[in-house]
Amino acid sequence: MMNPRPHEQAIVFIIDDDEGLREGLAALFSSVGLQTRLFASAPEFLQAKLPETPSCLVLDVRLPGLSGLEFQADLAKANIQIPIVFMTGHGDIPMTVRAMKAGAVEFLTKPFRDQDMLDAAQLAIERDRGRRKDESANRQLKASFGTLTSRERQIMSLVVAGLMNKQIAGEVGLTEVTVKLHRGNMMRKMGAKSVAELVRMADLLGVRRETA
Amino acid sequence: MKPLETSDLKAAETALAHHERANTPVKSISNLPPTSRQIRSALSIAVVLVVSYGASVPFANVPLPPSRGILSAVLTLIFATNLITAVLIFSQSSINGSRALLVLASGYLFSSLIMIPYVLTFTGTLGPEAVIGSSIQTSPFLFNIWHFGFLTAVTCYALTRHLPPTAARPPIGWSVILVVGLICVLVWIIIAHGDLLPNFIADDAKLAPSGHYIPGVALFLGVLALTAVWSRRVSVLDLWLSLVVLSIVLELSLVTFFIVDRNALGAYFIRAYLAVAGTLVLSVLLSENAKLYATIARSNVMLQRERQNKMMNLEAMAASISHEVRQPLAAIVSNGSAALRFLDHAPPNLEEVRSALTRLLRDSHRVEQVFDSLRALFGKRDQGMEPINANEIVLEALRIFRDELRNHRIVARTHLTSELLPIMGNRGQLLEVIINLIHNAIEAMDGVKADRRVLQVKTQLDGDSVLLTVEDSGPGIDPNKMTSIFDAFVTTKQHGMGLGLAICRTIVERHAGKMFVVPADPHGCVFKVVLPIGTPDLQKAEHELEQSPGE
Repeated sequence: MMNPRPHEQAIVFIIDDDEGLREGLAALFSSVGLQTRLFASAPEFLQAKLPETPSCLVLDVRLPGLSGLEFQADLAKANIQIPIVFMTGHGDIPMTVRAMKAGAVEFLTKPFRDQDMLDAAQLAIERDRGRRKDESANRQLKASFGTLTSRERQIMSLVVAGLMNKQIAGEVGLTEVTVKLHRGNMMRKMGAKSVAELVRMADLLGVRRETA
Repeated sequence: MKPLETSDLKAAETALAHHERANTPVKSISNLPPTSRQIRSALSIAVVLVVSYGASVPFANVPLPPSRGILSAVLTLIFATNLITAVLIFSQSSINGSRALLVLASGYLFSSLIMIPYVLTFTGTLGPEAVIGSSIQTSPFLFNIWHFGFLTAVTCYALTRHLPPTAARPPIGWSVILVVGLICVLVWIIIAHGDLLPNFIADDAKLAPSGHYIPGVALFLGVLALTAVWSRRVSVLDLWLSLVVLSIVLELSLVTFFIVDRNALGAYFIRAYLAVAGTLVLSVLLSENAKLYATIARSNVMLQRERQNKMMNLEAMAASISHEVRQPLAAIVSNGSAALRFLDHAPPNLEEVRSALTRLLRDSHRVEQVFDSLRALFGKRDQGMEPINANEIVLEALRIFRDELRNHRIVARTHLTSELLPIMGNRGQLLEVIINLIHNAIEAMDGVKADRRVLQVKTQLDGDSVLLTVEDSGPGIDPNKMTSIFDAFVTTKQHGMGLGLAICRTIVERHAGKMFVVPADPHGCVFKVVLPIGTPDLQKAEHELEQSPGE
């Protein structure tokens, strides 16, 4: 059921002050081929260097020092976007609501069903994987955009504004042939196969028609 | 076996109340020390009184028109305030068992009741003639007698207030009869022998020599009373009583030394002082009572909160136990499930299975440890064993439920034998057992008619044991549940964990006792607790053995 691609091995980070539970969880995840890294406290986790792989956090609500919910808020503040699966010793409904509102993937009451825990971790990892994919696509797009000349950028903004080549030529004061040439280079550099795709990229990049 | 000694709960309670009265005096203004603020305000009132006195002296004989109206109003005020004050102080003396307060209250009662004949000696009160006493000397006579009576009572109070309170109820009824009798005798003297009274008023409506020196004697008594009350004053009451006596002293000294004419300005000052004297203690009594009432109400709330806290603590404890257990349980689930999954691998990863199962076993032991440490915790907290009289804890438990029994209209009967031998045990735990049983009984009887709710608590000697029974007249217990009623989490109540009786049984068994339940006749049930009579030496020896292992 689990089929992680080897080049992006998913990792489950487990933070719980109880060593026995940490080890149990590690065994559980490892039995389905998931890697784990164990931490006894939140600061320990923060000090560790996190690898750039899809991952999630399995966290006890009650942590020594600051509570799991506080830790969740701290992570959000520090812009560390890692999906969290909460565990608790008591089914405290207000706490659950708070955690879920703050974006927790799941809130499990100890002792949880093994499958629930695995499903929750799986879902969290998928969420992280998706986020990472989006982020990397975004980064790539920015890099491509960076290779464009200023003329190509100008033409891109006019293309996404819906102008025909002839209109663009009139707008920028070039011949239609030159515009076609620039436009072809721009589409190739951006890796866009159609104007529609280019429009979507422009949206992500925030490219607007320059008011000339 | 001797027949059980039947003692009424009320009688037992009265005995307890007396016991308490002797040991822990009830807080009231008659024994609370004054605060510095109270002393300051009393002193400032004293200053105002003395200064106004000094200011009034030069004008004491400025003639003014006579005013019966003002005098009547002041006398009515004194009648009413002193009567209320007397009632309040009587009740204080009844609570505290203080004879001194009884005397003081009698003084106030005298001061109040003497107003009746006093007013009747005036012309114009009831028809044109005076109702009693035909002579003009009658009113001043009563005026002086009133002062003597009140000041004597205050002096006696001041001299006896340090005596310890008596256990018996102070004879309030007799005091009232005595005071009323005294006043009747005075009235009789006035009516029958009015001509024997000394001349206070001369023919020209001015004061005769006796009109000065008899108040002079009263003044002397007043100074004596003031000294007696002020020196070694201990309470709020003493402080304000000093002020009362001070205003009477000032008033008397005006009569003795300065006033010549009855209808002069000085007479109005006298009335003002009398009004002050009449209202001071009452107002302080009322305000202090209000404050004390507030304190009591607050502490009552605290008591309730404390009781609730106890329940909360139980819940909190249950929560923390469940947390402690859930932790290893979660680990067990994880390890067990991991082991199963490693077995499913092809080929099975036996190494991982082995280590997961090892951890699983370790975590199972952790669960066990949680319960062990709990037991140790309870064991440590309540180890103290002492000789206990079962009757005492029964009465204590009944006292805790006194209000609740009354609210539920339950008649409580006790049959406590006087020939009990002490049992060795933990007082708090055994009390908890009885409290639990009574509490259950009260709840059980909620369903029956109010006139059939009877709680019976008995103690008796049964061979080497003390037998303690708690019987209710409720609907009884379902015979199917009779045997399991002491098991944990078995309950007949809608809201309840079913832990009470389980805990009771544990406690009783730790005391080497037995506990069981039988149906009552004709309905209800009887819980019986058998506790062995203590053999302190043996238990002590066992205890020492435990303390020194390995020697």
